[in-house]
Amino acid sequence: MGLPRGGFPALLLWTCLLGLSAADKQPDEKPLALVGGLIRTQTEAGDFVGCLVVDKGRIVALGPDVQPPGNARVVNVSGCVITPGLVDARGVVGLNPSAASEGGRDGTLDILDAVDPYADDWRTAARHGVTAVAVQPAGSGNLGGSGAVLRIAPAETPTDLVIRSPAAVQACLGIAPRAETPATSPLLDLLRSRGFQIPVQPQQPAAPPPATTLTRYAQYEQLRGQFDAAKRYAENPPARKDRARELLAEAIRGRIPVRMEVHYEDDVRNALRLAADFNLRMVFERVERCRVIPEELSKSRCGLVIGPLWPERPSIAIRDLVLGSSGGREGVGEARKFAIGTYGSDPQSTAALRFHAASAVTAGYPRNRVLSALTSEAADLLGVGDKLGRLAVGRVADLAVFAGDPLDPSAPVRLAISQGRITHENWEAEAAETPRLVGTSTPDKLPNRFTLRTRRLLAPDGTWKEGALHVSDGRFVAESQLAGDNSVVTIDLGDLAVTPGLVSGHFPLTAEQTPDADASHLRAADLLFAEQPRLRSQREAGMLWAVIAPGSANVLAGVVTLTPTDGPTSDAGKTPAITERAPRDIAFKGVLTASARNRDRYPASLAGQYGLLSDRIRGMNSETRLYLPDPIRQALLAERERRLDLVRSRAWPMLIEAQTRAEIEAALRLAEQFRIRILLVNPRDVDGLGEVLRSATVGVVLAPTRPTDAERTVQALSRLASVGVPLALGGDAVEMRTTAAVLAAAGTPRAAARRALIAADVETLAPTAAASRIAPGSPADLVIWSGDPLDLTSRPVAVIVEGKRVAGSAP
Amino acid sequence: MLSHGKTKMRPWCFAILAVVVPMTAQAEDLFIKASRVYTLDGPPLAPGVVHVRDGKIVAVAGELAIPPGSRFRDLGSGVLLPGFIDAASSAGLDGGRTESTVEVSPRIRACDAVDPSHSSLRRLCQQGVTTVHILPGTDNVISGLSCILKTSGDRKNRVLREDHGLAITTSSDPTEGNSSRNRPDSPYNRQPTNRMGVVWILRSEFGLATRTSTPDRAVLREVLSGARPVFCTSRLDTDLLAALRLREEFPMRLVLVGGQEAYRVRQQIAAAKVPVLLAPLSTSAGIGPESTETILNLPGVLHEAGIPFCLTGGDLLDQARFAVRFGLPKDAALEAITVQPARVLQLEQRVGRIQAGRDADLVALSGDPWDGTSRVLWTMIDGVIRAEEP
Repeated sequence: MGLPRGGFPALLLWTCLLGLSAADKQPDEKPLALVGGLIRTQTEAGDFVGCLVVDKGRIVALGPDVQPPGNARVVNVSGCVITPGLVDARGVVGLNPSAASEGGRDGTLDILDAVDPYADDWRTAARHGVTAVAVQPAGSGNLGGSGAVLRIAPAETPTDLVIRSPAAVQACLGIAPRAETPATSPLLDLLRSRGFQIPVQPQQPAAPPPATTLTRYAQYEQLRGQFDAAKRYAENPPARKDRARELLAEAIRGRIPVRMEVHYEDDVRNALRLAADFNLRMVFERVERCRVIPEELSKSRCGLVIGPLWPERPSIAIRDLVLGSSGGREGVGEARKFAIGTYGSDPQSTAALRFHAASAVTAGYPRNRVLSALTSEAADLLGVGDKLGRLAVGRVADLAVFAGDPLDPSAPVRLAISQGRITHENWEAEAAETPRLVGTSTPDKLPNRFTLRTRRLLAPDGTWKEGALHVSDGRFVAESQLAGDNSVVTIDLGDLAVTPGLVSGHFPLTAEQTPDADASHLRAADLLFAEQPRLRSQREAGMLWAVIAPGSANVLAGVVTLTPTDGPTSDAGKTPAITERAPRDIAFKGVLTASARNRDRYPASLAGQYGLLSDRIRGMNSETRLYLPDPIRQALLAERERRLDLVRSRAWPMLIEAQTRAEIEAALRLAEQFRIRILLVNPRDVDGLGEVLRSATVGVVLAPTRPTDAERTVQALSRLASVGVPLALGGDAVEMRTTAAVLAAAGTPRAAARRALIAADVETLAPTAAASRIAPGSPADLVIWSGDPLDLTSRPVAVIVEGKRVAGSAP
Repeated sequence: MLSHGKTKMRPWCFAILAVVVPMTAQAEDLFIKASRVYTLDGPPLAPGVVHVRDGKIVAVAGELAIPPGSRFRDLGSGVLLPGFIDAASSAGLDGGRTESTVEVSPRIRACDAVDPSHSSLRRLCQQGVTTVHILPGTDNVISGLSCILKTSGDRKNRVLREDHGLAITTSSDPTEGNSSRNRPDSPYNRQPTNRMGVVWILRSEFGLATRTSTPDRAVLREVLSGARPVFCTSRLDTDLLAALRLREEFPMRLVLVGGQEAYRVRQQIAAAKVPVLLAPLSTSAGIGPESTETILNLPGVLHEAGIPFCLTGGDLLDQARFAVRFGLPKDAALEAITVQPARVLQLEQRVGRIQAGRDADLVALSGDPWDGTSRVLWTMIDGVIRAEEP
């Protein structure tokens, strides 16, 4: 392509401009104005759409009518939600992994000594809108020492990270008594004390010795003794400072809270006694572990740090304790302040904070309370209410901008500012929609013929369209077929979302390890009866079809079956009213991952797995080590051949489980060498492979993916859909939706993520896609959601199978 | 800012030149000038220029007319070497190095378990290694087929040979963990249990291959017909002699791998004209695997005995420097990481020298290769720089 005339002067000019703009681009120098977003201040000012201006690390203007200053970098964030930066009330971001697990019982530990300022774990947390984390010695000791609240940001020294330190005293009651192995031998100590020269044996850096060996009663007595001593210390400060006493004295003076981890009911009572006797500000954690929550706690006003709430479900008893309501039960007391901790042992866990929050929402915590638990209440409980948790003029800027609802984990984070410094920016990822208020409901019993109207019907391209669905006798019909029938009921769902049922692209069943790595004769459908309860529970969660597969213990794992999660609906003996619902075998499964490698059985290596698979596809005879009478042996081997013939003739695709890059390359080579149709299952290391997979038209079924997975893996997986690789998701309904949310937050187009939920793009699973189609003539199967299924706070309001409501709860 | 402006101007310059001068050089022509070019084909050129096009070396000489419009790279005081070749490596192997459930697995292919983007291959590329011969592990008596890759490049073209040679061993590795009392009635019982058993299995497998035909034995027949080389890992003098004896009984193109005690049997190896791929050299390897007794000047001794040998083990320039430090002539050390491995791997026509018509696999060093402070500036594979010093 030639350059236009006068190209050179234009180029010069352009270069100059480039230089100018580069010189100007110093974001910290210019005020930053965020315009048009919904600002949720967490102060008395409430929520409003307006403008927020940050200058020199502080919020200098905030309000619905504020105009951005002339020199500001103005960013339009309309449609976004601005909240204070999220606070993880218990994490290990920024800590050295081994130091993070250390506890103590004399109160001398300072968590700042465990901080590794060079760790770059903060990036992942920042990417999810978290700007601060509370860290403290591990709960393996009764009295570890001081905790701190840290920024989530890059730093040069540990003190760079400190928002407040000491911020709390870490204490714990109810640790199971353990035997202690003495670090040194008493005999050697005695000999050394008598002057014997005994060389010190270099010791293996073993696991830290258990920090406590005391019975629970003694633990309490010891803790009490330490507070007694600290009280005397505070009253008559000696000349020589004692670090541990000083820390406890601060707690007695009420300047920092005691974060008390409790394991048993009486621990709570003992802790409350300590709080009363020493006038302590007590914050409880791990109360979930108590089987019975004592009444004293309900009556006290002590704050709570709850968690982890994900992937486990939150405790309902704790919810009632926190919210101060229990459906009329006596003695539950008033609402109290609470915060949410992720309690992970690795720094990535903090990235999942919004998943914990979404889990709280689905367990019945009000959305507003959850947001304040992540921001203002957390800040107050942790004693940093002046620096974190609220948006107001004059405060240090600590905020996050969400492209959607802050509690929707699939909403990408546009911007995170931790203590005045930008820690994350992403203006590309597709925004989530802000949740709309839903006021409609679905009737419990649906008539035989009805019409559903909704403003959010999932279109084949994965976007939402306004639409109407006409149902007659369990099937979708064209509108004309209902015309003229006055008895047809029209149900207006308003903003409720309507989708086909979710389709799990890979729902592994129990693994059966056979003496032969060739288990082609196994068939997932034969386990249907046993697995029916597990599958049926998925129906309530919105999954209507599953590709069930034999487990991954064998290299040739067997036949994969597509089945409805509710099984045949009609009575036994009768042919199903709707024949599409019969389970059918649709594919074969091969395994290249380590789970099928077995030292006691060929093969034990990837090369061996490839060798076995290629031999069998090539047509080499199967062998068996099973001791069988000859006719049965022959029948077994013939059965294996029959299944593989369908793969060889391309009638069936082969689902190949492959995780690492070498395994994925081997799978692709198999497909190319033998011209078989394949579908990759559970690949992880796909960085840079998107284009290869797309051009080879290989579909992918993703393994359940979590926000705590390695950032690089998540990014690579999220790019697959963007380059056009057909995606389906594996696992159960919750795992699938988590995967979809993680991908959407990382930048996968939301429409593609929704299509993946119903396996719409994966052609090799064509019958699967057909099964979940909304079209005249198909069975009237659908799921009505309270919101976008990508948003983990939404849930199925109604699950409809063949025109009948089979599950779901009122919104 | 200034440099940005410059890079933006360059295409514009080319556009003008293209108008003024008729197309004398293609855009992909690249000329690299270095203070020394070790062609491995006669004494080094000082200075020298290498002309690269379409992934191949077009010409190399002390001076070349550089047509206007072609790309030019001047290394200044830097030097240019052919890309190094690691002739015995396990880089990139993932998911088990040996199919250890059976002791004889000739059809297992290393290439089926290689991760081409593995960090170990990237590291090799950064160290100047451009071609790597990946052997399956030594836990089997006959462990499978090796493959030859470039250490970087696009997925298809970088594979030079998918299944090259057969890896066998006359060491004690396959006996590890086996015992005659170990579940003798079990179908999972594995042979052999001692060194004699290792050699016996080799002898019986090669013997059977001449008489019976199964897919496994077809591979052994290819070996016996000379179509496939054999890479035999042997470390002790007795094991090395056992390998040589086996070669006398069954005609095969034998290459010895390891060779820690090769100095003790150098006459026999020299007489057999069998090349040796030496295990990585190290000062701490006084007693190596299987209690071998190695010597620091092992490469020098083999060189004097006239045995063709290669240095292996990743950082090949460092290996060559080590060998030179303890007595190997410099020329021989360079050959042991370039020409010799190319010859052993039968890739002489493609790699190993800087010569017209060969692959443009080049390593640029910041200075004299024997100066311990010289470092790899960049590594070029098939005409593309794949690793460059940041």
